[in-house]
Amino acid sequence: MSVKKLFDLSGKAALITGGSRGLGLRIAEGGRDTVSRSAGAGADAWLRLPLK
Amino acid sequence: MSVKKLFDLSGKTALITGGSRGLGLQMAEALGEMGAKVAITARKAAELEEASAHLSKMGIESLTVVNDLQVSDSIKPMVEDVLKAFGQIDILINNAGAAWGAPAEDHPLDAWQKIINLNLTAPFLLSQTVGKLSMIPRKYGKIINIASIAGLVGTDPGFMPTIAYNSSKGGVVNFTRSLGAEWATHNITVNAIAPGVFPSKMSKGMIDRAEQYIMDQTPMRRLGGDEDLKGLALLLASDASAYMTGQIIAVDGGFSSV
Repeated sequence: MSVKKLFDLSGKAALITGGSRGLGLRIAEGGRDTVSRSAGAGADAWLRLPLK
Repeated sequence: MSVKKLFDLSGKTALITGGSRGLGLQMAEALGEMGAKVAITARKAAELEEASAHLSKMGIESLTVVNDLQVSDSIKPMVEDVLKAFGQIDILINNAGAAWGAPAEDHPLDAWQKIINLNLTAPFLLSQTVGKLSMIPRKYGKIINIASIAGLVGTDPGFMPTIAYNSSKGGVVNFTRSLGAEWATHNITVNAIAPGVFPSKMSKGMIDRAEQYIMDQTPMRRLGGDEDLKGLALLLASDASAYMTGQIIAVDGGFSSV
């Protein structure tokens, strides 16, 4: 298999916690460059969850 | 910069020792596919020609250099030959190596010296020469040393006693850390790959003797394959690893993690 294929993330999905900024966002951008869709879960999103 | 650009090796040149087969050829394929011109060295001209033809079929420009790294005086002329052809060396992979199996109490001194000379002294001399003639003046370089998981721990004597090999690879591990620190300000990164057990001419005797033991100790329950070093070699050869130096990364199916 070619090395380009080894790095290809087409069709893959990634879940990145803390993905709204900083390192998490940078990692998400790297995934986007290799054609994955990234779903980021940032700390702010957690804080907005209703408390039970 | 896009991550694709970070991994792009267009315009780069690589020198890979022991590049005619096995791990060296696998890494030459990876770097060549990403745009690098590759110079491969080995002792046997016929094997180099075969490797060069293989790379050519993949559209990779290569240069072959017959060289015996046991002969220290041959290293500088070899580097000069590559520089004459390519103009620069951006990436150096110190891959050539050898192993010797014998109990420590009976290990021949000449075999010890041969293993230390090829596995540790030659990478030092090559790095020194390539650094001085090309990387330091150009303020750019990526050095990849092929260590081994045998350089991270001792080897179970029931598996195979290889004291010289373990000692030499342990030396490569700390050579990597030390050179990485020393040349960081020259924009030269120095990192090491510590492969586990990959089928090769060198490892054949060991695998024949202890394949079941290796499988039992490897969480992934398989030996290394033809593509297993490509990704890490490309990472360490490219600007994607610009902030990494002095690191040793195992590629061993989890062998060293348990």
